[in-house]
Amino acid sequence: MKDAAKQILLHRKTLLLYAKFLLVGVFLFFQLSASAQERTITGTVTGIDNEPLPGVAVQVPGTTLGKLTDINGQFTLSIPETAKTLLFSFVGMEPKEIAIGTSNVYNVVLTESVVGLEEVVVVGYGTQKRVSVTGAIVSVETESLIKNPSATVSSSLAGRVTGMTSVQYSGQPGADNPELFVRGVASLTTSASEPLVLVDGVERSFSQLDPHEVESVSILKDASATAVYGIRGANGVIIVTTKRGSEGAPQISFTSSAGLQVPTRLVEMADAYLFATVHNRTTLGDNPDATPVFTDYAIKTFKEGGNLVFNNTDWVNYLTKPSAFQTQHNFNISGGSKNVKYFVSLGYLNQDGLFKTFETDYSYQFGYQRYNYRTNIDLNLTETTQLALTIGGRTELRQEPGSQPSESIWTVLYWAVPYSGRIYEGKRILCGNEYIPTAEKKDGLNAIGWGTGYRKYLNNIMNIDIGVNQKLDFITEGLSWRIKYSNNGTNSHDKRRGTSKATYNPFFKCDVDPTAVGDSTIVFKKSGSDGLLSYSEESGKNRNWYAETALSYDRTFGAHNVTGLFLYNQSKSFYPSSYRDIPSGYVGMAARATYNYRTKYMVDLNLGYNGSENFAPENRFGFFPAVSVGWTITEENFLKNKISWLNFVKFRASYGIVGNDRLGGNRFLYLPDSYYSESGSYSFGTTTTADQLGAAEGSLGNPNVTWEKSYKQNYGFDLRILNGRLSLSTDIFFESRNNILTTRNTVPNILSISLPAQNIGEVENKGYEWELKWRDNIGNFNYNIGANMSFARNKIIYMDEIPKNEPYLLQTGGRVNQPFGYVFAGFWTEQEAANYQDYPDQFCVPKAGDVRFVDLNNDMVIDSDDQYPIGYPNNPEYIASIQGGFDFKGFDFSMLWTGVTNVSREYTDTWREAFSSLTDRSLLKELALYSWTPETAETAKYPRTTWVNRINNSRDSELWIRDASYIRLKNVEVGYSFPGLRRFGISRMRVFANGYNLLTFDHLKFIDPEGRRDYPLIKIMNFGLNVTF
Amino acid sequence: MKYYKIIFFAIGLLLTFGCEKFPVGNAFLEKAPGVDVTKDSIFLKAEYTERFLWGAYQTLPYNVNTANNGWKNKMSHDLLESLTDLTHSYLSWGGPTTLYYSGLYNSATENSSSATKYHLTQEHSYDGIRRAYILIENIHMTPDMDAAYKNQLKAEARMIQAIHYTELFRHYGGVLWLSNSFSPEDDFSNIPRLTAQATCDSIVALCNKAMVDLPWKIDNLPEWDGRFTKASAMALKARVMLFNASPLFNASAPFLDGEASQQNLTWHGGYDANLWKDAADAAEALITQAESTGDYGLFDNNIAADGLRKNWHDAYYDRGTGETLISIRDMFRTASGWDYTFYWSSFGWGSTNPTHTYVNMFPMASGLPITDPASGYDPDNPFANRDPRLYETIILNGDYYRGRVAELWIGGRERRNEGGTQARSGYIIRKFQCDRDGNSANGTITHFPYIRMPEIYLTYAEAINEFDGGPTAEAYRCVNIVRNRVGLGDLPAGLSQAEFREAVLLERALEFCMEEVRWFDLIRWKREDIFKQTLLGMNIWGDSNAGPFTYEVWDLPKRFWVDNWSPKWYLSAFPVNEVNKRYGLVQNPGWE
Repeated sequence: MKDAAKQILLHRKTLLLYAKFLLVGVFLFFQLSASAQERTITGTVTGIDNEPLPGVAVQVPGTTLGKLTDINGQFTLSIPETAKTLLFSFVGMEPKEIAIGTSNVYNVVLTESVVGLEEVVVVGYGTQKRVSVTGAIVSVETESLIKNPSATVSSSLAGRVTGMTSVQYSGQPGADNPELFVRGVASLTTSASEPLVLVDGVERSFSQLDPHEVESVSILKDASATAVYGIRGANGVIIVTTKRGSEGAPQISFTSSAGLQVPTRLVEMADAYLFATVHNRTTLGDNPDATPVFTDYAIKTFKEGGNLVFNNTDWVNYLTKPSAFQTQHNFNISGGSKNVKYFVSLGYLNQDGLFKTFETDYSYQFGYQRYNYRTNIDLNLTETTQLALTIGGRTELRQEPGSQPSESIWTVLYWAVPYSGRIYEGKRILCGNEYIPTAEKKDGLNAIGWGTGYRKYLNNIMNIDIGVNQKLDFITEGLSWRIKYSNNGTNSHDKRRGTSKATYNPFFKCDVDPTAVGDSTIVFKKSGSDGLLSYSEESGKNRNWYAETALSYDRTFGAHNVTGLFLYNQSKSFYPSSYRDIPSGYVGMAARATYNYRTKYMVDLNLGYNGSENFAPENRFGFFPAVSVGWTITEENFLKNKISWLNFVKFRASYGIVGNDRLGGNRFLYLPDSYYSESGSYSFGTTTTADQLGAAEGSLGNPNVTWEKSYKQNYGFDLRILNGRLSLSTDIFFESRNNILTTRNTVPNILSISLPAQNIGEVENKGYEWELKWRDNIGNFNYNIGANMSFARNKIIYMDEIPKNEPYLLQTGGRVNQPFGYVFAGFWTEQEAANYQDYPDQFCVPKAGDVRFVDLNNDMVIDSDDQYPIGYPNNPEYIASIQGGFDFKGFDFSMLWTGVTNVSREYTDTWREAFSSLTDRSLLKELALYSWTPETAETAKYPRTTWVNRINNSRDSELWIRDASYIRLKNVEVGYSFPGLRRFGISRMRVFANGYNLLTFDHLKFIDPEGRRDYPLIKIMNFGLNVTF
Repeated sequence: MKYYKIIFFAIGLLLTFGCEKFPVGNAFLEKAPGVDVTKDSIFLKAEYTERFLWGAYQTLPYNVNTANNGWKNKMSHDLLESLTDLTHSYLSWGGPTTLYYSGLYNSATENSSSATKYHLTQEHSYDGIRRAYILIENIHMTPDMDAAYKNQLKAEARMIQAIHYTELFRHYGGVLWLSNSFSPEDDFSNIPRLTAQATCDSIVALCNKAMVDLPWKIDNLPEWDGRFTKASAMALKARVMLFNASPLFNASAPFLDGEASQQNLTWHGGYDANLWKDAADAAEALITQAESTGDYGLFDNNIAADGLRKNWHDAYYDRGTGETLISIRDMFRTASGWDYTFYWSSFGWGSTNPTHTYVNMFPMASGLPITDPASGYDPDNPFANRDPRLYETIILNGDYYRGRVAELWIGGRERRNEGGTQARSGYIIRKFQCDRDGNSANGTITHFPYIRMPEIYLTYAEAINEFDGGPTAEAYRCVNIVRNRVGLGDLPAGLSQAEFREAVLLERALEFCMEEVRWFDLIRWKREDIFKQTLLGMNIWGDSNAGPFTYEVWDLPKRFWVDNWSPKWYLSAFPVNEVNKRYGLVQNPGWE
């Protein structure tokens, strides 16, 4: 809190002028108020530790007069003689009102508010005081988000909040959004379990927002919190709120940082020498009489470093830079008068790709640039009417090589073999089969699309919200009405400049020129040609709007606090992914009533009533109620102020029903049977070139289809003790979801019916979360430490599964997306292999070093009935984190460690099979070094490399489905704020260094435990400066 | 009052942003798409009704892979032929290697693998059957179509069903027979398998019913060749009856015990010689009518002797020649060699390497087998003067290829080294692929000859030989028609029943490589001996195209079943998931 306070700006004339200059063109008018002065009050505001408190609002209640304390906690305020009291308020402190006597000097001590009484959290369609919340809601504030130097703001949430699962599969610039789940997966697929994401109350993505624009991220977890979202609330809701201005002098803040992105781990591939020796060893291991592919000459050449005919190219290192640069800048101003409040922000991010640039006539380097802008304005049109204008948007520019392989770049790069070629004097050397006869020679230049021109994507996203809030106190006190309209547009443009580049096949001269006997000069045979840059372009657009109107009520009758909300909304998206020509829409109503008695007893009632176009008109609208209660036991007389260390204890409970209307991206699930009048074609005749068009049956409909229903219970408990130093919040939840949308599995496939969606699945999900925080100070040394843990486990109750031959083969009763595989019984020893017929039949003649499996059903045959649930799905069940920090005399430090467990990763393709299933692709160094050989039989981690028993050894098994638990230093930040800059008009100047994914401890070692065979995850080391005026 | 301002403002807002109509509540969602095409809109117009049939035609099996995915890639870029003795596969991800040579194939593999030889549920067989039923059940609605043409379309739909059931019958034995197009609300808890005999009878009944309404031949070949004719129905009937009469089902004992055998699903319960008679009659009926009308027969454009190769190539490859009785279509023209996506061996992938065993089966151009001392076969020049079909089926070292000479000696361009997967057996396939990217393969009009006239002649000859206890003159005549077309002399007279049977099977192997004939010949005759034999490869050693070459015959890798033979391999396993749905599907013997 103090940290934030230090950022509060000073009122300085020069800066005001500067700010005015900057704001011209942004505002229609800018108003400064000045009032009559009759009396001047001064004073100092401090905390109980005598530390001055800057930024405390000093107001004269009932007037618009007010000032903020300066960095020394001092204030000077002119007030009318009639003023009776002064109100001191500050976030996190108990507000204090003092009577004005004859003295003109008032020194005030504020105490920390024990429960953060005034602290407000964002809830569905509104805000609520933290103290009266009875549901399961957590939130993250902007300070945490800006500590993360990652380009993607959604990646900051990992570990920061309880109940949130975050899995980041890729580190690709502009495409590294993690997969987020609230309380795990509770539907039958991960895609049907994605939470609803809202930015300022409207469904939008938030990954590419500038973190400086974000005020808070709220995660609504239980039914009472999400019931108002009704048919879309079952998977939890993430609400991102952008910053808005508050009354006060302009705060100008400029932050600039630059950093390096470094892959957390780059996979190491075998070099040509290792590749060739292992390849030959593999051939000879299968058949000692065979002629291996690599000749002694080739191996010798490789060992000596290779040449252009026998290349030795470490593609991953050849093509990637050790690090890539990134910079981020943000400039924002906020402030306001009584009638106008504003927040204006401009952000810029430039992220370089990890690939090296090789000589071409044009730039093709991967890159990502993002310009974020935002203007949030609140206007008081009248005493009772407020208008909120929210304009936010961004321009994203991505550059890529002209054409890329259909698989991901990195997947193909990981297939490249070291002897396939390289760039030599601007030529793309690509070896043929003449010297090394293998079927395929993948080269890395093909993977990154070198010589294919370039491609530029432009993406323009603009969101405009206009809202009006009208107080209706003249009807009844506390009543207000609001309306909001939001328009979201996206325009994209894809510009391609394609071309081609010749390839050069190297030969020794003596092999192509009969006269050049013994001449080992390298000559090239050119294929293809260097093309000219072609041009093509493509544009896309997207538009959607959202509108809501609501009546809300908030009133206190003595000890009784009552709020109410009744809201109607509808939204339309014009170019949805399926049925692109038909806009998609939602319509809904939400209602909430809350009551509390002295914040001691609390009852909330939340209702959602929504319709979804996915269902037939008669099954379309669903009613989703939830009720929650809270009891603050420390407000009871028998406890209140009785036990000095026990500050706050609250019990919470909620129960409700929420829905889910999604089945992948499918729409209109209820539609009747459809046919296609044009479907394929058939070539009749002998000379007719035109094929006859076909027609076919489309999908069958299910008019009775309706929403998934999730029954959720949540029980929580909040505690604060030792004057608020220690706090604990814990929740336990049970979710039972039925009517899950899926298709039946047990219908005979021979009927050849494309089955409609039906409400048949059933999944149970339960878990718990706790969060512990300690904050205190030793003199000037303020520190805090916190830990949290979340756990969620699901169980499939019903999925219309086909009966299996063995009970352990069933997915029902297990986890969603549970991997299955064979149980590893060790590598065959020489002796076992000699007597292999005494062992269960594995359908191969094993040699020592091959994989032996367990015959689970004891039928002496290893077949698919011997597969067992192995490991865990891709998203972890346990997530824990520890965060801590301190500040001392201008220095500040914070860090965040996260850890996950009960999670697995499957090694696929070349991660699992040396040379891959095609036998001619790359070789992972890990597999080359740790595969079984007679010499390493005792210590081998992987089976022997073989062509003959390749299929056996690479079957899904415990060898390849691995524990991907990890502990990671997710975030660390150190900063220093320079003192004594006030005379230069700078209220704060801070230098900082932060990092992301800096350290990782896990079992996989050679690959990142979170990523897949794709763009590597990155760590970021970042340095920056923040100046606040 | 200030709140009037608000109302004005709100109205202003609506006018500004709410230009579109502003329905609320349920009306807001009402914009569901009209299902513009329904069953009615298809069958209320003759044009769409026809289209629906063309859509059903698309489900027919084109047995040379033409796509990288789905049902047109049935053995994962490989071919059924590589399970026979004619070709061998080294394709590391292909079905032969991953499932059959390795012995890993089982009923669970059939659940989802795309590498099995025939998928019960991924193949569009039951899809085609359903489409045909929908047409048969609804065509009565079509107003602008005369009854005779409706009957013809229905007959074509029945032929589509008959072909699919025939494929299922040959891969699985007795089939699950659907009686109509089901809807999800129907009770399908009981769809039992028919017995093998009932399956054959049902297919024959479909053919007989179709024959009545099908034209004997297509009048407008340039536009409509490829539609079913009465001859198509007669040909399919002969094929299915020959399969039904063969010893796999028609024997005194089942090929393997099991519940399916006990229920006569994979066996007829005894031997009945009359089944051979039925097959012979079916073939004879077609041959008689074809010869009397002259509309169908072996393609022969009477070119000079050196054109025998071209003549035979055109016979299997060309449309509308009167030789192909059922011609299945995919694309009109090939665009490139990659239109056939079996990853063939010449580029190193390793699929479909012709075996030396197969090369040895081709006789000399004179018709004498190479083992005959009088044949003039020279092991040091083994490819000279052979049956022209050898050259058109297999690319041999020294033959033309890609505008040059095929270099199949070790170190040559088609076979860089001995141990790679490029032309590992010493040979590359030419049939269908023709010349890969030579002029003859690209841009040619193509089709899959599902049944050709030579098969009918050979079927007739085989059936006579079995029913009459030995070859008759008519049987000889039928085989010799096939041999004479490629310049081979007549079969030697006086063959025993067994010798004649072998001669017919050999002729079928030589004539129909990659036309999915050999596999079914091997299983219907339960040729365990051929499955268990060691197949041969060829290494040609030399330094240049000028030679000299030395020829080294070697043993190809043993397939799993060579040492672990079980008759269960004759028929496919049903997917265990389908069996476990328990609607009455009985698993095939050996795969339980």
